[in-house]
Amino acid sequence: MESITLKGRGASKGAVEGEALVIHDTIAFLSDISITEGIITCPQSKFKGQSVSDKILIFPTGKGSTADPYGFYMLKKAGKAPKAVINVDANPTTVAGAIVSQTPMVYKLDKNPFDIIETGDHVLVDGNKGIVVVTKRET
Amino acid sequence: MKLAADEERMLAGELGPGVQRAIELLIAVGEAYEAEEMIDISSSHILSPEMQFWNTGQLSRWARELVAEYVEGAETFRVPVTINPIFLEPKIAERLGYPQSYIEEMRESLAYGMKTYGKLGVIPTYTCCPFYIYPSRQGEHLGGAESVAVLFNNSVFGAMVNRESGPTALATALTGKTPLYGMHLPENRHGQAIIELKDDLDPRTFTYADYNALSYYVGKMVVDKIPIFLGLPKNMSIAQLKYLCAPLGVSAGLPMLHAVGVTPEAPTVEAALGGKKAEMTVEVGKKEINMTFEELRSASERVINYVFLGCPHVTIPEIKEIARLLQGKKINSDVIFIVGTAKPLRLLAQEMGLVDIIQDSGAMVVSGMCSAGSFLRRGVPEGFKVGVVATNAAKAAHYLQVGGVQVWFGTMQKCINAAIKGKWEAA
Repeated sequence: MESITLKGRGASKGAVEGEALVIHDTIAFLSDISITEGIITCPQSKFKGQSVSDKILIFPTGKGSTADPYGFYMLKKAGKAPKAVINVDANPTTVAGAIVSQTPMVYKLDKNPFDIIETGDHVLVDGNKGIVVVTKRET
Repeated sequence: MKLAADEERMLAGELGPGVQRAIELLIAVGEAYEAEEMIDISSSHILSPEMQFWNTGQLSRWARELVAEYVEGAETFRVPVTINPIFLEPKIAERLGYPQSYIEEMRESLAYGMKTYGKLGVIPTYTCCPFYIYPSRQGEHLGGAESVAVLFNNSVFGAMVNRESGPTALATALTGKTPLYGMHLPENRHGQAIIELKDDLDPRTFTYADYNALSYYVGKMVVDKIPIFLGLPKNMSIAQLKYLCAPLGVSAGLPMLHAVGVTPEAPTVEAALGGKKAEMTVEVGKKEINMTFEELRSASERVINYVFLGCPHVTIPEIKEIARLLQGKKINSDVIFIVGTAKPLRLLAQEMGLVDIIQDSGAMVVSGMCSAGSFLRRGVPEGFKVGVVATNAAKAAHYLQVGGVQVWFGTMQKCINAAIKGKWEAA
């Protein structure tokens, strides 16, 4: 299976792989996701009801309040956090959330992840090296 | 990122594992902003997850675990540090009829926080307006969170501080450092949006609620552009400035505004713009203010259960005004009326006889609590009905509305009338 490697910056260390969930909304962990269940609750989102748990979560950028990193941390403690986060641009509240919850995070990739990654693809995120390896889902 | 010798020592763990985590966090966040170095801060303002956000149940235990990781091995904060309010006083929880087991858990969480930050030397301000107690000065670099404190410090004092997150605020307190980005760089502090008042508005007659609506509306319009307010009185009071700042932090998330003639960096509109052209102009008139009053209302039931004044915490002139409006009156026995402020201000107001006047009416003057908002959104015991709230604060109205609580938004006078009658009147 052919894979595509994207290079960017690692915001939070660690390497994991898993299934991609691509979300087109900006996300606030504390207010758009149920922090005990990992379900997207934002009423305006067309992804409402989907679970971010154990996914490689791809979204454009965060929009968190000053308490937002706590939301990410609570998700992790509840066992409902995404496995890793990929952002186009990093909002510092998302970076802080990923670090305090020890979740790998990569951003500023050399190609737009929305052009390459689709929900269901197999994705490896390496926050130490700042790379993402995408294996397209078999269709 | 280029690190100084003391920062290298922190990163190597020489000051303990907590400080090491703290500097790692600040480096990563700084790199996300392309900061090239750290700077020394002269003070910081923290918010405590286990006291302000989650003080019962599993979430409170997790919040305490997170704090414990960061303070591990730390002996003292490295700069003077103030702290945000807790969300609910146990004695108020009792009065609200919260279950005893719930109140016990709250006490445990509060005791943890007070001991933990107390040991590190926190100044126990418990207010969102630390500037009442620990002011800053122009050009001073600060760390910390709480949107109104950040806005006020940047916009009124001319200090330099980013809108940090809870964990990074704690990290700045533990290290005395913050990454050099955003509001710490003079070129990022200029305004981009001009705010003009139409002829049908006279700011000299603005109530506090009007300032709230103006700021909330402007935040929605400018989104991420720093606004430059023209035509506001140069002698705006601290209370008026506080209400000009606070709503912008929730409707836009901005760290700064310019009020021409008031903000140290805005003696003129040209200075506020930093020699550049404005990217947009927003005109605000009576229509926009009225529309915002309506937008901040989410209630339809006229019978009210709570009145909150003090988001952000009230000043002494406000307490004086509340006392004047309540003098000799009694509030409705079904209404809980809370006036929230900071401890030293409450003590002074008590000495002035104002607290007695307010409390004789049946209202409460409380200090150190996030009086108008937090506690009705988070951590309400299961099955507890919050009811309908009245407030003159856009920040509280916004958060309560988001939390699904019915809110009436109006002037202080109107809120007080509602407290006395037990209902919000149409006119």
